[in-house]
Amino acid sequence: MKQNWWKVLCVALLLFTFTAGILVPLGPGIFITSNTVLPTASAPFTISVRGYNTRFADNKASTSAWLTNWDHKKAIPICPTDVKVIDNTHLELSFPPVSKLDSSFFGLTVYNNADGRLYLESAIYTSDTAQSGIVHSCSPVVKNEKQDHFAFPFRTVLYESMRNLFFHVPMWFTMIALLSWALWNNFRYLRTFNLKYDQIANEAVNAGLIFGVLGLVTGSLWARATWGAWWVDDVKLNGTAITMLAYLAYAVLRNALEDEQKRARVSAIYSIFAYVMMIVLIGILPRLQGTDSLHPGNGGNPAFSNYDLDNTLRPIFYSAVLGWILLGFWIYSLRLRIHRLNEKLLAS
Amino acid sequence: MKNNNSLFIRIATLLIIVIGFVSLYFQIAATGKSVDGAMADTLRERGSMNVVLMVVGIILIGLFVALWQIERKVSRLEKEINKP
Repeated sequence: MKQNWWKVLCVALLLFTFTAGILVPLGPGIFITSNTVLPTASAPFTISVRGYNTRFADNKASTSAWLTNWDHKKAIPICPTDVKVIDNTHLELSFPPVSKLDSSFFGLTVYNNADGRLYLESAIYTSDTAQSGIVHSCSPVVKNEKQDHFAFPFRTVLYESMRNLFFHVPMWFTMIALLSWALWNNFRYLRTFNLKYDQIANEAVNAGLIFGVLGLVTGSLWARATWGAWWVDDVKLNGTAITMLAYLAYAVLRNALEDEQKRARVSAIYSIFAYVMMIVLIGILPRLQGTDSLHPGNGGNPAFSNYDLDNTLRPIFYSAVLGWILLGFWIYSLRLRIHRLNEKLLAS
Repeated sequence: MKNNNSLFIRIATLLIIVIGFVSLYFQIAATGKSVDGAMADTLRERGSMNVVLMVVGIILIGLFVALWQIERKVSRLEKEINKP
């Protein structure tokens, strides 16, 4: 039991990941379900708002809403004449005739004490070019900026699929951890020519490949949902595909060579090159400015910043990464132990 | 006979898992539809919780395949040891 503490840790972390990652609700957010283009600037109009995980009716007293336009970069709120709360997820806002100031787009904010400030950018568009002043300017009261419970951030396009952060992303962390362990043992083999290290490296690569394939397949599914295609022309995707092929070739290469020492030497050197290629293809190239990548942290996009890793996601994400890496090493250690038993049996 | 039995159990377990996932998917799809018509459907599609469930399902299937490989290696070992 003493040597197996990390397996217990692995199970605990993954249980936490699965329960928290799937059960924690998404924060509240809003959509507009009515026409978003103002027909004419000089007529009153209504906006139908659909809330996601919102509680409009439960907090009827504090529920308010306003449009925002800009006057010399200063936000000017425009209040509705009537806010009709239909239920927890439906609102109807009646606005007086408005016209734009600086921008043709109006942002929409819905606020109540429980859900906090919910903002929809470019909610309403007007094609009217006249710039008459806006009437009904008001000063809304905001008590809580955020919702009153623990929730994952609400992001358009992603929505609930944000939870894949705990399942798709750690697959790659696990693959890289296992391949790094293989690399270290390749070096150890080349220094000592002890076949023990060759076995370790081989089983680490085999276990790493499982996670690589899982990362590709789950990524493809996620891409279909959020980017609209199973495979998009993204440097990171093509880089990983090449990396996977390089490591698959490693497996083929091993089977092709008969002599044990020769096989170990050739595959150790090949594996080191494959690792370097992997780092360049999925670690460096996609991060360069000017490359075209949809992944966060690539093509000049920030990663691990406030934009794509909210503080509510962090504790679960980090435990997910550690949990999946431990699971990867668990699979690797089982394979290695079986391999060693086999060797022993063949030798006797 | 014993071997046949364990194979049966394995296939049954796999079937139960697959059926479980499929029924879970349809159940969620059905509840989404019954809430409030077309709007809930588009929201559910936008909510894309089904993507998360499918991703989790794929990872589990992948882990089962890895388990299966280990199982095959162990039974090969067993056969080798039990050989007179």
